[in-house]
Amino acid sequence: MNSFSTSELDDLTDEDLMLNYRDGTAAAFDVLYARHKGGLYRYVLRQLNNRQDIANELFQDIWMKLINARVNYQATAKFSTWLYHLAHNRLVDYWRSEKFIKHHVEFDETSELALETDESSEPHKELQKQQMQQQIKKAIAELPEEQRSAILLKEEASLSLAEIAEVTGVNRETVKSRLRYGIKRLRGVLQPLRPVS
Amino acid sequence: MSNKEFEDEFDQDKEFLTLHEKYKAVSTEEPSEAIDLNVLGAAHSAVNSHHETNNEETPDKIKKINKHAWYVPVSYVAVIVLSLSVFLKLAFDPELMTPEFIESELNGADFVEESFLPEVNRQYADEQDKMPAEQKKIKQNQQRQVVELQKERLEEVARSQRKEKSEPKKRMLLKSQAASKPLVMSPSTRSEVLNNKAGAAAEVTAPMALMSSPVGDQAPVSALAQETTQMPAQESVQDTGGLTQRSTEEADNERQIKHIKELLKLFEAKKLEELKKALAAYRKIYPYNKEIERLPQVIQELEKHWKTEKGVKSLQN
Repeated sequence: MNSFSTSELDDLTDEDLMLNYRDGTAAAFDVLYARHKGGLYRYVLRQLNNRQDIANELFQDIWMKLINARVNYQATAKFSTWLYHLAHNRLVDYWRSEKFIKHHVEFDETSELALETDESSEPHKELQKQQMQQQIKKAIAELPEEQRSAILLKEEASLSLAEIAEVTGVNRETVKSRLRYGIKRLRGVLQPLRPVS
Repeated sequence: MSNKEFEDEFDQDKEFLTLHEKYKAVSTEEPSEAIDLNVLGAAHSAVNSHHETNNEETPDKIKKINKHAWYVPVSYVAVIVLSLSVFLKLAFDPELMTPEFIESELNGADFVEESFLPEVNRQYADEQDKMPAEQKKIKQNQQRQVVELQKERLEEVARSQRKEKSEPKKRMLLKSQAASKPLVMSPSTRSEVLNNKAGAAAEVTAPMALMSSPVGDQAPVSALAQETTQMPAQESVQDTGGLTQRSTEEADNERQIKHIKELLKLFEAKKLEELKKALAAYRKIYPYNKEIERLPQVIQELEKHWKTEKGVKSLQN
């Protein structure tokens, strides 16, 4: 088992961290998890139309899959691509098992409002932020699954077109068109909103 | 438009950037601490358990190999124990390595009996030493007599066997007599026949007298008497084993053959009256011999032929 300090691990790439974790360095996983937990969690949460309970379950499942699959890990691709590929497959499985009809799922406003309680010194600004947040999430939730998936992978995982194509299992041109259509729709929805200063 | 150009355009799109900023500003959800602990705990335990199982796998594999290979050391131990036992046996029993023993073993002799012989002889010698000199002499004489008698009997048997080989006709006769089982009489019945019937004694002496000479003479009668009186004594010795019993039977057969020969001699000498008497005496001694039962009929037929020379010639032939 290799022994690394935290600073040394922070300097390593995702792939090196995963290789170290595979070889028995548990601390490498801590760094890796800290890097990707937020983006992955939001990706899963948005994909599930902000249903937090299911998102929590699936989020843990995805990480457990990664932990179990560590023995066979080879650094042939980008780690984030592999991680989001696992997440995408888990979501697809979930939709299949639950016969999830994504277009008919209503946006859960109450959960979002409860989640985003923040102790701000300016109540007016906070209210405005919450309204905008709600609208963005609602707009994303109302997107078709393919477009939403492409936009979220771009936003949360910062994946390139090729990587999004690899994760979703389509070609680059399809990813491009999905992104264009997705942004167009969001633009229409978010037109009246101003960026938060 | 290339992908890079598209991505640049996509990244430089003001609308997208606005959207991106807005999204980043509001999208700050993180998994709860409980989930973090769950995931990290699972990751750490997986690594630890993997190492533990790896450490445990090696002894399991070794155990399995040992489990399947138990018979190898057992066979080694068995071979060693057997070889040691053989070596010790040979070391403490040097007789086993003597050429006599090996030969006897190869010939299938019973070694166990022979192995006890020296001890038995030693015991016998000890007993002999303890006995008084007179008793020793008596016993030695008895043993000598027994040995001589046994030798005689064995010689008789050998002689009879030799005769059988040289005289096939006689052998055939012996076989036919053997087929009719009551050929050999027990000594008691024979003595009854000889002693109880008054006329029988005279009849018996008649053919026996002819053994020495065709003309009647008293000397052979005494010889016959001697023979008959000696018989029970000899048979009492012979009754000691199966071999001696067989020799008495053969002696009886020889005697019977002699009688038959005498009968034939009387027949050749044309002494019919004597022949009839001899036959009657013979039948009394050997009452169940079917072959001899036929003889009177044969003699009657011969008597008819006798009167003619042809009959004599055919008889001679």
